[in-house]
Amino acid sequence: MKKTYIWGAVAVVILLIIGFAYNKKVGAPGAGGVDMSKEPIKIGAVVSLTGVAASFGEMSKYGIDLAVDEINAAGGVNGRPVAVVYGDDQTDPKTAVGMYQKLTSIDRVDAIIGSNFDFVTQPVFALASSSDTVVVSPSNPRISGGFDTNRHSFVMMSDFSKIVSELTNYLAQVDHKQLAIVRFESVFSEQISRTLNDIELSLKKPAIITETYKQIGNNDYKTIILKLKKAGADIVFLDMVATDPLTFVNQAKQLGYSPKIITHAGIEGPLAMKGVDTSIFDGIVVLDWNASSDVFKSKFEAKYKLVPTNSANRAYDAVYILSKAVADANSDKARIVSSLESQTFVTPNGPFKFTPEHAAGKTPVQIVEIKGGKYVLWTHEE
Amino acid sequence: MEYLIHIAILISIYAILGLSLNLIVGVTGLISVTQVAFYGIGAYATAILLTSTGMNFFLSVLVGMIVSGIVSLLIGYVLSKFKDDYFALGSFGFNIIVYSIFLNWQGLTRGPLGIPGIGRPELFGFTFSDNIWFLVLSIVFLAAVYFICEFIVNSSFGRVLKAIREDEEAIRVFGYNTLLYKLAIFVIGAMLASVAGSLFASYITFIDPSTFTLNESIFLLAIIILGGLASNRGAFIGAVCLILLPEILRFVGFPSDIAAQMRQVVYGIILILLMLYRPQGLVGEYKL
Repeated sequence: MKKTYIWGAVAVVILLIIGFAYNKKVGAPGAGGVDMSKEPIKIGAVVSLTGVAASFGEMSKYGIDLAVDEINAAGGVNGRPVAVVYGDDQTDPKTAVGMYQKLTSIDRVDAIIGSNFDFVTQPVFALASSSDTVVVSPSNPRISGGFDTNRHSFVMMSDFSKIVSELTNYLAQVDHKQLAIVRFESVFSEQISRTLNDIELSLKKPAIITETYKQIGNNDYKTIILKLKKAGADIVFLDMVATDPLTFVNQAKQLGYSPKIITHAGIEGPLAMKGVDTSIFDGIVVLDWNASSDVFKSKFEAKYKLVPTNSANRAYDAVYILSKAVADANSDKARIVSSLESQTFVTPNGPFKFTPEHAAGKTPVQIVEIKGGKYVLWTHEE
Repeated sequence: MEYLIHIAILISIYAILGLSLNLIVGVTGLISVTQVAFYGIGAYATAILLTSTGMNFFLSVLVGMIVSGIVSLLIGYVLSKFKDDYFALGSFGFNIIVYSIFLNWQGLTRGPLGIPGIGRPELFGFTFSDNIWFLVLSIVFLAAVYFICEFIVNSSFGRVLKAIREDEEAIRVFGYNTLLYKLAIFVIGAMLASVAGSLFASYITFIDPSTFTLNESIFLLAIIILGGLASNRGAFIGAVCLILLPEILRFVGFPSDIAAQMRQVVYGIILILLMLYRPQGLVGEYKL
């Protein structure tokens, strides 16, 4: 038995040594024209690389890595290289808090990007308010009274009501009698519901019908579908992520219910799933708040052979913004905040400035329609 | 330093949970997965009372314990009708009910939206806002819970519980009302778990139902099984190992593309190996 323990211990030690050695090779700031002797700008990234938000975290990581490589290849910021330290929050609030603590106290990062889902980001923001390290969340919009920022936290999206309001023109042009929403309960879906209702009332339409569900994945929507069918809802907004839109559309088809369907960028996940017959999504209209610049899209696709989704573009922008703010503030944490508040940053996706509420002034949004599994800009057909 | 303090706070909270569950599973032999429900009740009691009434944290801990005690008394009575695997299944069902209440009683718990802005404890005008002071408070609670558990285990009451675990029929022949004993330890375990919930809510400052799922119950069972059943020391060691191990693995330099996934694989392998070579846990005296 003792021998087994010794061999076990030896195996663990070897694993650790190999790991550390390998880490030395891959963990350094990217090569290129950057002066490696200068103190790097250290950006921490609390992202969900595992757990239910893993698809968001992976995309954030891709976006961040792309930006770091580009910045370093171009000589860094003010001559300083950029290095990123990742912390997987496992889509778990307490792990996210731990990662914030690790990145600030062990890795001594200058600023942090993170996290992805709201319930994971909320405690990180709360922690940041009493700490001095800035956090910028790439995937969350601001909702007054629901998802607020504080003096050390920022979001890369604008106020959510502004984003949803982009559907006004679409709803005004599309002939319909009754709008319904099927939503996963969250502060965001409440905001979608409120804004859609306001739009409909302004268009002299009846108040929207709301159906909610509480867990992502493994849902049975048949009862909801039959209720909507009976109520005559001819246009349905799906606030869904992961496999849920696929389940809803399939079940609606089985039950002979074919309303006009609108959804948001959450459809990107099922659209990108391997083995899914994407033709089932044809005709669905998408409020796409992940619209990227063509420059970013082509760089991303060239590097990863993937279409950028789930806020990859904003995580990418966040690196450009934070590294500039940190470099200008010379890593002085108090000055990083004022630098973020006062500057208009230039990123490959375009200029970016935070509002006084620490959110984006505007999130580029486009209304697209799915055709052949791809987004096509929506145009009104008489 | 802040990171180490954070880990120490989590260890304290999970050690309290481990100790409370050990009384039920390890000492008495009732395979229960309800502990996370009482953990949640404590967390929600503190979160709701602190955010909506501004009540003092320590009073909210007391309220949480009372609520958990009452609920556990009712549930414990129902569960006492079951034995062994059926007890485990029944406790699993109770867990789902409580989780559903957290998720659906929106007027009280805000459902999936969670409760943000939970304050830190205050005592005689002193706020435990610095994590180091919160750690001190957590350790005080842990020490108190450890002392209570040691006292129970070494008392005549504890000896009856162990006898129930070994042979319930035999102890009944000697005239002991085993239902009463099992109910008592179930209630005590629930009240102690509730303390951990209160600490968690106040530390993280935000709670939502996702923290109180069956996964967490399994994690708590893993803590006491790994540490060693029926041993308070084992429950503490189990919490230290299972909280520390994934954090240590963060410093192993796996290739960054697969680091997160690799950590979970290695974590799983280490647990399997431990169970293969130490089925009674690290310092346990009883095997399931």
